[in-house]
Amino acid sequence: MEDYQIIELYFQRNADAIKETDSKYGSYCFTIANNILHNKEDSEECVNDTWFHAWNVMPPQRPTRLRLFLAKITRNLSFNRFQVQSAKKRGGGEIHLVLDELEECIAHESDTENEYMAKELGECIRLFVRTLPERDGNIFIRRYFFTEPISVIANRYQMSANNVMVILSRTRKKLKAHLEKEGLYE
Amino acid sequence: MNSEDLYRSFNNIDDDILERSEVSKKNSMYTWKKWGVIAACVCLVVIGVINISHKWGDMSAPLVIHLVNSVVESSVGTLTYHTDDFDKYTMEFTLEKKNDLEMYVLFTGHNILKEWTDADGVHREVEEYLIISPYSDFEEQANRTIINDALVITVDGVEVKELPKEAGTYEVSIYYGELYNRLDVVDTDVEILGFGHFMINCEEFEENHPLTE
Repeated sequence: MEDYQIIELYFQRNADAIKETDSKYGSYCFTIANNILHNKEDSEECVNDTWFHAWNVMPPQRPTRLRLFLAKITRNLSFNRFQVQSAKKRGGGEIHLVLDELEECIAHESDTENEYMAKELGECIRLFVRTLPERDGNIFIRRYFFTEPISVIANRYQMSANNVMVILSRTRKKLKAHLEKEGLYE
Repeated sequence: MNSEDLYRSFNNIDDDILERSEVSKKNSMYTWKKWGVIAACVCLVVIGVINISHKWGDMSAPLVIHLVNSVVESSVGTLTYHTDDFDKYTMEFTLEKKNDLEMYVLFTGHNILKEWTDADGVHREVEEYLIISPYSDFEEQANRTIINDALVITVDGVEVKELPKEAGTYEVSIYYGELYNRLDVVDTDVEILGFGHFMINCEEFEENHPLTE
């Protein structure tokens, strides 16, 4: 079924919308959740929560790219769950490596409860990624949005793992400089 | 701000950029003009043979270079590798002296920062590589000099460039460790062995060698 037809089912409040979404994007969203949570049961729950969330926001929202719309919901929900779990016990998984790598881009930890600051940071990242060469940008996104392991990224773009790591390292340095320039390096 | 805030902020990335990253593809074919070594058609696999000789401090044992990826053939002092993308290529190898692992080197990227023709009519380029070793992670510039213009030929309707023998020289300075040692690899000879094949002879020079000045 085409995306626009699935979206239409949501707008008709037809329960088949969830079945069709699960059939088409269940595996895709599970991979995103599992990259973050590293746990089958938790990931499956997050995928189910994603469908529930999608059901609640469509309508009124009508996404132009359903797959990425669902990806962002899954990523958010999975990361929320990770933070709750992390407060209890620090486990394994790709997400810890990703967060450790991102530590390089910030001077020291501080509380960003300020919603305005969070919005600024989001806009800063959005614009930064647009400035990157396509290949570097893609690799950066696979790592820090999709939380993909280095080996998966290397395989996706048919590069060596070392090459991927070097590009990520260089891009993190660029991000750090960008955050400094924008006054967000704190 | 902490790393979790930063991670979460990636949710603001535009959908078109996210979508672009989902397409798996190989590195694009390189621009012959920029690289200026040899040419091939779209499906060509380029095979090169690099002969290494060295002159480094008081070391007299042969320098062995192992190419980590895409090794076709390897023996003492000689290695064979292939790549289909010289413009964005990665060369990985370990340098070994007297059977002791000396250092791991990775060259990647290939950005031409500046191109010009000097007073003698020699085309010169300053290129940016990223070079890493176990000692540090740093970027360094390589200065490549193209001695002769490439010969433009047409193969199966595809215009390509082929360099004659002794076509290019480039010098790569690698600074590593707190000792600030310097290793310069100089391509002194490019020999065309056949279509899509070439040979590069490299020499290493210690710091203050006239050729590294």
